[in-house]
Amino acid sequence: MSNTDPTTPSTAAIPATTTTPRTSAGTTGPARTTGPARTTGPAPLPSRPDPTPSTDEVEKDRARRRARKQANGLLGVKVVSYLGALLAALVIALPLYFVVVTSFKTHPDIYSDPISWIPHPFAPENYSYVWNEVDFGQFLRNSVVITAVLTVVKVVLGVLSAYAFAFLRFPGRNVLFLLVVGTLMVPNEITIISNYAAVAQLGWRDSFPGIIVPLAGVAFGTYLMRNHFLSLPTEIMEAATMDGAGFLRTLFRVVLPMSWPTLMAFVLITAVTEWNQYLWPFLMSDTGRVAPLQVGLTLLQNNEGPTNWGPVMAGTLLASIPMIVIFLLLQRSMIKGLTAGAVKG
Amino acid sequence: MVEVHLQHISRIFDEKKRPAVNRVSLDVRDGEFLTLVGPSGSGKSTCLRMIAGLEPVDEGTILIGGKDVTESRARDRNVAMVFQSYALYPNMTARQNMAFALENAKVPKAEVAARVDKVARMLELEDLLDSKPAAMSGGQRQRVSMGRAIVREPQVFLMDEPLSNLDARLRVSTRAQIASLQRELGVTTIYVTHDQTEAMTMGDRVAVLKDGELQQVDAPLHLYQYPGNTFVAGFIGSPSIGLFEAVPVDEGTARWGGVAVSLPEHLVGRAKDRVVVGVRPEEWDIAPQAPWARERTEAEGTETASEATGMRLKVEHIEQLGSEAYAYCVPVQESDVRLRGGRIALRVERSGEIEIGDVVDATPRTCSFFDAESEINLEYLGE
Ligand SMILES: Nc1ncnc2c1ncn2[C@@H]1O[C@H](COP(=O)(O)OP(=O)(O)OP(=O)(O)O)[C@@H](O)[C@H]1O
Ligand SMILES: [Mg+2]
Repeated sequence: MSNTDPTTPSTAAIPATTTTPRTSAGTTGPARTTGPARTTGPAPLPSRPDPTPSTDEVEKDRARRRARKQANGLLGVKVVSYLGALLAALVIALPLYFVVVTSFKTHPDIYSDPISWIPHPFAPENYSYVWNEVDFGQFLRNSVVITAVLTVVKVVLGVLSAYAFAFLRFPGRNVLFLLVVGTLMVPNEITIISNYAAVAQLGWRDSFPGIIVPLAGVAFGTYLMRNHFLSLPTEIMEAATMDGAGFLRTLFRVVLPMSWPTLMAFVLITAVTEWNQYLWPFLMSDTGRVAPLQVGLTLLQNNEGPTNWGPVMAGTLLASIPMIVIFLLLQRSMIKGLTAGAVKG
Repeated sequence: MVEVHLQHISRIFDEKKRPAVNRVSLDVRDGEFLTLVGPSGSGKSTCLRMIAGLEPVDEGTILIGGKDVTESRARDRNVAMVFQSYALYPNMTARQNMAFALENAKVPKAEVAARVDKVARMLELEDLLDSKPAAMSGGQRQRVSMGRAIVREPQVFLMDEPLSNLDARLRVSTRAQIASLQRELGVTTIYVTHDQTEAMTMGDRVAVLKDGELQQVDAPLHLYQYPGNTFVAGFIGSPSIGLFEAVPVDEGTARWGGVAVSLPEHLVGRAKDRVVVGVRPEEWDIAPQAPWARERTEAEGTETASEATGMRLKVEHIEQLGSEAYAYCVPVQESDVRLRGGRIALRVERSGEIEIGDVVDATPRTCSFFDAESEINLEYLGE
């Protein structure tokens, strides 16, 4: 491993190490050169049995050795982490690759045996087929409406409820919070029947409210944001109180600006989750009038006897582009830490 | 005229434990700089936060400027607080940090700008106005947080250990700056610290807290010379006072370990047969023991020499401060008078005079006398 490290001087380049008993030249790796390894400065007189280097030299020497050790350690860590990243990338990338490749394949090419890794013939017409054949534009619009409304509602509700749970003292606060978090443990599928009955009774089937309202409950966001709010330094909130900032002003001018990364993560997770909602919108959209993309894509599957996966994959890719864009937009603000410098230390 | 009156205020976090602040009564005069000092956990911060309105008052009344604010919200009290961690808003520049309170109070924009600029000039913050806290040093953040309080022109300043995050040298210079700034502004100030030097040097008066109870409020020098009880005596002054427990008093004279001190006349009547005697490090006369004296001690054993020989002490440790030194000593002779803390500090004026291992004879010049049971200074006891 040491050969690949450019910062490691080869052992032969260290003069006078043989004069010290601890290092036997040749066999030592860089980590074991514990004697005074002088790479610079005048070589010690050979007649002197044990050269005592000046303290300055010793210091430099130690620093050099430390740097070398660190470099070695870093290299090991790097190799391992690259391997891990590679493995993870493969696991994710391979199916993704097939989605992309299949979207450019013709029907016979998809079912060819052995599987073909490169589309032949190249069939970009899958995309135009999707766009024209199903009402892609309408589904896209529905998706955007549903996702946008749900994201806004959920983020507003999540932030406000979290703020209340974190900073307001009211009786039953902890019990209520437990209840909210408890709903996280209930799988959606269990509530679907009762939700359906309720929505049907309200006459909301096949409408946006029918899709949106039952999905607008927020528990995860409350939990996430509350815990983040509680981790903020209380003295800053108290300073805002002393400065006469009201409840909402404190939220918008002090608390939220310190919470961008968490808030952005919350927005992103919510947007992606709502964009990918399938089961509930599917149950709600009887005619497809308010169906989102994910439901619309299934129309492709059902229309063709044995499914022609090319257009389906093309549609899937098209449907995921908006989320990729949102992710790219939000990820930078997610990383920035904003509490730095708020309090000492 | 802004006076702050605390009338028997208490804060009880937990019914089962003693109150964090226990029936504290305190009158802060108009324009006064009062320091609140005490060991960790003595309830200083809690007390200050009660005045600020950040902590509810479980018992008692708080008056600020003659108005009962016990139940008012923090924002309605018109007091400003400087926090130990500074608590600057990280997303705002220094200018915005200082302007925030004024904006909340709907002060016109032009006036906000003028006031911020004025305070910035006063604290030499002009260059920092547009930087965010993350880009400032500790001392600069401290100044901005002071500025944030000053710009509001509040009735009262409350400061909770605002210097404890600074390094020692900066702390000393900032200490002087804050004190003179306060005098200039003339705003009633309550300043919490656990550092008795800070308390003594900055405050017009010093209030000492222990376990949530107020021990004494007095001008620094008076507090030093006439501590109300042994706790105050031990807490104020560094190195701390030497306390000799259960010293017998006979006909107005306290005698222990080769020392005899006569009590001042007005105290004689108040002393029971035993007292606690306190001697400050600088109140000892030191005579390095002459060789002949050492021989005599060896020959005669203990406690036979005449009273005037002084207390025989062995130097265990020397703290060299340059201009002076402190010698930490233990008594050589066994005695039934116990020395609290086991060691006693003596000031040595000419350093180099004494070395570790030396034996000295020390005689106290001035002492404080405390009642053996209540530990209250006899000066304060009625007859
Ligand atoms: N929020 C709280 N809940 C329960 N107990 C508390 C709370 N705040 C303070 N206390 C208790 O009140 C007592 C006084 O605390 P306080 O913070 O006032 O001490 P202090 O004198 O400021 O100490 P320090 O010098 O360490 O800051 C302590 O015993 C502490 O445990
Ligand atoms: Mg405190």
